[in-house]
Amino acid sequence: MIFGNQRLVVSLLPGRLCAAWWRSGKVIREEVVFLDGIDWENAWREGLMPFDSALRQLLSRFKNGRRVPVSVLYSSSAANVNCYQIKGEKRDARAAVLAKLNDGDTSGVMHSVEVISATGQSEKEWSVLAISEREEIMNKVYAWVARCGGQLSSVLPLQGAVALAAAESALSSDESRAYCMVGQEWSAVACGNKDGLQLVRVFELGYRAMASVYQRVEDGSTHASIEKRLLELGLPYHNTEIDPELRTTLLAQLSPIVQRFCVEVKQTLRFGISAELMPSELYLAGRGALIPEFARAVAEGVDLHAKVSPRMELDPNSGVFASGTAHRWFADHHGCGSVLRPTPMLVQKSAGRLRVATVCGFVLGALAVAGEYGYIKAKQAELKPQFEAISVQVAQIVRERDTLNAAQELAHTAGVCSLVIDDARAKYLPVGVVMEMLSENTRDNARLENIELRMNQSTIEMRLKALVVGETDESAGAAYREFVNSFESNEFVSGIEMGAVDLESPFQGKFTRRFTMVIRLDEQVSGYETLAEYVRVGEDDL
Amino acid sequence: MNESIVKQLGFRLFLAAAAVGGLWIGLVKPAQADLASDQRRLALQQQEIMAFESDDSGASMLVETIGRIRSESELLESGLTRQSGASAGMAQIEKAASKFDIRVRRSDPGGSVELKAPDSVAEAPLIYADSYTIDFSGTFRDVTFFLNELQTENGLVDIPFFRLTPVGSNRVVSSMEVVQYRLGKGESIVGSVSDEKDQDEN
Repeated sequence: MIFGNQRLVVSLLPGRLCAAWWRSGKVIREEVVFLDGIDWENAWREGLMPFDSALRQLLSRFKNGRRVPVSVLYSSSAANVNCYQIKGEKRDARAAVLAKLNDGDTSGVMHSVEVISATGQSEKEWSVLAISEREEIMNKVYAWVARCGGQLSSVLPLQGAVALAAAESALSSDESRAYCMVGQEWSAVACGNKDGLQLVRVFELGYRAMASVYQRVEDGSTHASIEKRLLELGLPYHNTEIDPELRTTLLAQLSPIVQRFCVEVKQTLRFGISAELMPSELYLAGRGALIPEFARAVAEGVDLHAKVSPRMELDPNSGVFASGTAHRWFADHHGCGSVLRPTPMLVQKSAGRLRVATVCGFVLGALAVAGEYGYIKAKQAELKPQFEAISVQVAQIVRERDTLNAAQELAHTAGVCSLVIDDARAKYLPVGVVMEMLSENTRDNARLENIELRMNQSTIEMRLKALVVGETDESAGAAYREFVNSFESNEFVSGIEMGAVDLESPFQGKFTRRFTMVIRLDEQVSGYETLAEYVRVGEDDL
Repeated sequence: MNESIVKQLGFRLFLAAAAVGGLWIGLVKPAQADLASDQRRLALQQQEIMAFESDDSGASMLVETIGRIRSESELLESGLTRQSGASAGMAQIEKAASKFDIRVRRSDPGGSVELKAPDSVAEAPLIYADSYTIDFSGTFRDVTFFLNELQTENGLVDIPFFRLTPVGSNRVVSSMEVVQYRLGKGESIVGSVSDEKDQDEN
């Protein structure tokens, strides 16, 4: 992140808009714009629009056209800061405070709860600081910064920062001490040491009340000059160099304010801490602590040794963001858990995260697609040599298959032709075979008179009309039987049906037998049936 | 404002998801299908090669069967005469008769019949059956030779009816019905398949 260690911290206070360029724990540059002539209450009603030009000027000077994170500390009349002492576990303490804050009608109010420390008396008792603010005000601050071109990163009401800064100061000391953070409008008292915190209380009284006195007295002065005068003259209890009349007028109006301040501090310590834990010293911090003679007046008022915090005295920067002030605390702790986060800011942050997540998701998805696609292409590339290795064998198989297909086609065509012929033709027996049979079986004593051969689709029949001749009747009979037997023994004859036999009277000393017979013949395989059979049973049996 | 941000983000999210989904569907899925197809094809071809290499006896039987089919088909085609019309058939018969001193006394063409293939089988070359009735005379021996010649040297010839009556000492008069089968004009059995195959190879 370009701006990971730097940001603009803006403080919006009545009559003044301060900005500091914070980088790596240091305030690099600080500027103040005085908002003279702008009504504070009215400006809030108008959504801080009257402050737009001031903020725009600051942003343009500080960020130099870049979009930088902006943390806003502002003075709020609606914010509420409370410190709770809760027993139990740390996470339970936070939950308990939140539950307490959310009890009742709290719609439109935002809460920020931070467990500051253990109280020191018991490990199981926690000081929990709760800051509550109206959401409407938060949204106004967010819109104001966004309108002026900034990017709000954190926002906190001033009283919250005062309380937290006071608490941190108290926790930083080894001995039990009381710290009073004197802010412009709010002040806070915290008491404790590094082992724990006994007390944190915020009250609405700051050095602005004293500045108002100066403004009334020196009518017509600007904010800048008033603050300057206050920090120069302070509380003129012992300052004899100023005009006596002015001194009298100032003291008359400042004394009640100081008295009230002391009462607040005194009552806070008195009712907040037991007598045995009561600290002997009170350290003053914040810009108000730099008012001359203020520490002395407070010391007299609260009966404690009151000193300006060493951090305030040592820091040569006497500006709003001087070390030890609530402003500086806020600048240093802008990202801590106690800041409030307006809903639009949360939405924008969530949207930003979602946007990043979407981009990441898209990139991951695209990478996954590219990875998967590359993996597939690599696998396909691995297959290519395997295909090439078997291509010769595949080509051979294809040729074989083509040959087989051609043979099947030929067998089919020839088979159909054979089938057509086989279905149309009669049973087949070459007539030459029959003629040879007759020639072989007809001896000299036999004579054929008529032959009829018929072949149809069911039978082959040959009708014979013949006669045999013998010297005697017996020899004629023997010749007849021999004639018949010669046919019966033939391989093509399947049966013989005898007809009538006429025994004729001897003629010229010869005995004659005239007869008819039907010879059934077997067909001969013509050689075309196999192909026809191929079509009949199907081509798969090839 | 929140609603517009949510809408805008939702739209971008949808676009991103759609883009990734589109890439997946348009690029990866077809590639996956191609790869699966290639892998299946390779496995199939390897199986075929293994089966082909392990089945030497089957291959030789196949070669034998193909050869048998071809020779039988050629035999059939050679048996079906190619002359066109009955007069050519008659001339062929008379030519055979003249070889054996057979006197053809009467010849009667009985007509041609186109043989129909059964409906269940595919289209086949046209085949015709030409019928003749022939009265002739000669010696028993010559008639025998004539009939042998007719049925062995003149293609596929059937003689469904034959009558023979001896006259005199050695001569016979005879009558017969002859059916001669022939392919239609321009039809072929072996040639058509070979021609188609040649065209495919070219």
